[in-house]
Amino acid sequence: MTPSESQRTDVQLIRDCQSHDQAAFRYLVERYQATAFRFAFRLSCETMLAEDICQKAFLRVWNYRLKLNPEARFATLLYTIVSQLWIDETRSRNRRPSSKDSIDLNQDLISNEPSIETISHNQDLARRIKRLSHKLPPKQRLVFTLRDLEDLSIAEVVQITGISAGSVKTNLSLARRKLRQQLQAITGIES
Amino acid sequence: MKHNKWINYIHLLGSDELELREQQALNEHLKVCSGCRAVYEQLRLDWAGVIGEMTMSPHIPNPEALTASILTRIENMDTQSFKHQQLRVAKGFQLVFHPDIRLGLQIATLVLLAVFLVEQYEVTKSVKRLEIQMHKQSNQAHVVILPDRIKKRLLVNLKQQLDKHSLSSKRIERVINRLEITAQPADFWHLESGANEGDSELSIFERMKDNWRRP
Ligand SMILES: [Zn+2]
Repeated sequence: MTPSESQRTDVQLIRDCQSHDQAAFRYLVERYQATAFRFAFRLSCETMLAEDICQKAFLRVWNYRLKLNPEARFATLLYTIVSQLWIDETRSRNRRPSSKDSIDLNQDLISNEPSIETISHNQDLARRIKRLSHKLPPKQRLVFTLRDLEDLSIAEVVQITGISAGSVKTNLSLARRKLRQQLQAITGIES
Repeated sequence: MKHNKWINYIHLLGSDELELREQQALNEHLKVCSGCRAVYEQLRLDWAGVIGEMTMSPHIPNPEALTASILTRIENMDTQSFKHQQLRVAKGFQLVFHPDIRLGLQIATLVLLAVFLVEQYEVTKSVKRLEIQMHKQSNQAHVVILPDRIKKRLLVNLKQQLDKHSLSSKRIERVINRLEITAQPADFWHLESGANEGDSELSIFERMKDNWRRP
């Protein structure tokens, strides 16, 4: 990647993608795949599922590239797509509660064995997140993850989730309350 | 449950979620409500401690492989859709050049050509006839062009007579055309003034009908 290419702004990259420039799309993926993966992982607490959601999110970006507004903030779009994919996944799992794993995981990545260090780091993190937030319903988990873990503004959370500002605040407050209660319960037991 | 709203507010403290007036209202409430104040004190526990351990970033097992996998899937998708398109075009061509369909298309073209030629002949013939008629009558008749308004009314009236005299609509049209050529301005005076409208139209029609039948 030459400096001039890597320094292209998101707006330029989206425009180039709209002219079917796959190289531009590669830069966009390289720039944002960590964000998409991190957010998907914080929601799902599963490495493989997070990778799958991340891939699907970028495929969706590519498929809908002609309809995108290049001026709009790309990260917001990505958060929106990942949120939708995670909600879809949660719903389809609820419909088939017996199977724990997504049936549509990309097999290419499974052959790529992650290092033991990565596995244990992600498992540890997943345990920490689940420990406090496993009782949150999807809406509260989504709002909490966007606002408190991804550090987005309320306005952005509203835009991504399509929920009203009032409802975002209520869900956020409820989520925080449950987390604190959970923490108290845990520390109470531990001490 | 009355204090639920204030408890909600307390959990929103410390970031920008609470508006100024909401914060002020909460402060006022905390001054007078010991229950909510207790919750508030409890929650002064460091919030960062609550979520701190959740905000670590996960590791992507193999970032390059993830990028490559996304790009491969996109390439496959594009190739597939391109192949689909090619296949569709090829199928279309096959269909067009199938011997049976080719013969059908040839026949259809010939039939259309024949219909077109016959129609052209008819049009030319009738135009010529009209020209001859116009030429014959221009010397002997007083030509009046009916105002559209009257023509419309006449048409309505004439159409009502259609059943009575069993005239085809083509003939009705011809009657109107002839009317334009032979009618006298006085014939329309009644129509213009609005007196006995129906009668006038009818009488004109009757007269014209007779004229038409005479030759
Ligand atoms: Zn209170």
